[in-house]
Amino acid sequence: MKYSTPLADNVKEKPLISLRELDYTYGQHGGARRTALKGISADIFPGDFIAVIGPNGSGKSTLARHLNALLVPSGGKVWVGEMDTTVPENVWKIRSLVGMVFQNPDNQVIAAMVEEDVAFGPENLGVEPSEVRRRVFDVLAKTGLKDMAKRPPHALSGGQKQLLAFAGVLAMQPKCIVLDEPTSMLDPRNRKNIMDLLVKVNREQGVTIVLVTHFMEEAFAANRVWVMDNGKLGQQGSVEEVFSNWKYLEDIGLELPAARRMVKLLSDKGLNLPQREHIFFPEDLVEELCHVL
Amino acid sequence: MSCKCIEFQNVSYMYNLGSREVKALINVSLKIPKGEFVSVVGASGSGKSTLAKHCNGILTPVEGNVFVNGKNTSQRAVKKRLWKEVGLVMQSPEKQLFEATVFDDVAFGPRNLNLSERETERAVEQALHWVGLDSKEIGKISPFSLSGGEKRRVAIAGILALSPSVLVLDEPLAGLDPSGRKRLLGQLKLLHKDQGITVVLITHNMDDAAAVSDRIVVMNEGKIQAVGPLEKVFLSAQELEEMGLELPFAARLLRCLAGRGYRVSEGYTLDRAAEEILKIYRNRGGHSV
Repeated sequence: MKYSTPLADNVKEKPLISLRELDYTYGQHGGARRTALKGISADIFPGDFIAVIGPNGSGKSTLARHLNALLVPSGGKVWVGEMDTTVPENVWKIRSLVGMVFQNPDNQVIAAMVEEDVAFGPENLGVEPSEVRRRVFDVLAKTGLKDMAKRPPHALSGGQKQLLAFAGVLAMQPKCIVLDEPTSMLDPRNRKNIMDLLVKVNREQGVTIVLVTHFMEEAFAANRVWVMDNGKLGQQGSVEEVFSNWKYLEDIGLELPAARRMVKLLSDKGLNLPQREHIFFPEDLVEELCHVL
Repeated sequence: MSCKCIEFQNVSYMYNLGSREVKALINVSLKIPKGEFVSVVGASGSGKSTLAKHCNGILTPVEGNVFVNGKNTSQRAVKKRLWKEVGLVMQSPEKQLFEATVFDDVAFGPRNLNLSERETERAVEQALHWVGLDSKEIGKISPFSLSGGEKRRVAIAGILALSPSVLVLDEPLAGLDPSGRKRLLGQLKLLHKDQGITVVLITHNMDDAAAVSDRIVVMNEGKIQAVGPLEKVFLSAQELEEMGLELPFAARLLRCLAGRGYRVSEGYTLDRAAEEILKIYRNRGGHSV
């Protein structure tokens, strides 16, 4: 699976989301205190596709929840469209700009029927009923859930519920969609479906995407990669930049994408491939191998 | 029916959804001998979780029978005791954590089995050790302050503390980071080898299935499509793709190379594929170590 090139340079525009010296500590209101985020500063520009990678417990989900004011900073600031997330009056507006797909779909699937669940978001935003119907029909078709429109969500499999959670957010047509491991329970086909959809709304409609993922291959769809490391933004850069730093990624417990692991395995055995920075997918690897074999 | 194993005999199961019936299992027959490591693969909605829930009597067949260690799970008396024999780790098991400390959470099962506090302590320590956690280190802290991967392992320890002879895990690796996946997979393999536990691993990741299993069961739309060792089951790549699955990376790579006219054998792990590639390289006069 290859991805089209991300949108052109957009850095001249104003950032959609800005993080400045963001700190977050759990347990400020009692309970065990644990610092989850430390001094994070970064910008997300309109049309960006950002992949957030990092080991379990590095703060990825905590960071994601700051992007639509589900959590507010213990220190520093998060600005969404120039609105401060700590100001309660801004929260409603912020959440209509930035939609969130959670790790666990049971946390956000609420209605008694699949199509009602998808309609819930846009209805709450005050979208016209006819337009709601159009959107529901559209996203159910896009996510492959059309045949299940009348089913109760609990009759869906884990993977189908993940698709449903995504469909619900998509129907709200936010400017930015934050997804916290949306494909962890999906089979390869559905994973590819979701990734294709994300790439499509990003490249064609300019929707900003922030994707938290453990699948390194999914990060290849991004124009920028953030590496979370023990509560800090350990690295950020283009896909090429971040994945050329093998040693660092392995040190913090991430695994290289399979194609890169293969390149390394071969180089350990004395077979060096010249263009290895550009190898991401099996097809790339086969191309390179054909040159040397 | 005295063989120590899980046996599905012509099992069908339907979820009843008001006016409509959804068939989740259709005439499934399967034998899992004691001590085997089986992976069940299939697309989302292919019936994997429904199959898993039949292994310890949470669901019982609408048609057909399931036998665990020779006993029919449809019998009430059997069903009630089954949870001691078959440990089922459900999807996202960390959602089931509830106690104030890690120790108490893992101890919940053993205490319900009326083990003495000393025996419970031993069981908890052992179970946490199996999943690579140290009871002394994290026993006293709240499970909710742990990371996702650690929570997952605590939840699995809670099942292991009951010393089940069969362990069924439904997507236990979903949502774990690569090193967490590798670690848990390694621990399962070790548990299987050292303790002789029968393991049924539900996954849609062919790479994981290829790395650990004796046999693979391929599910598709409620039916068993294929059963057997790896090389027998990985039918044509196209067939798997139609079912929503994907061959392991190494196999895809080797098939790509074969398509380009290179003579390579099949392989399912990176090491195996690397060997094949290096063999060609050496034959062309390249030097490798």
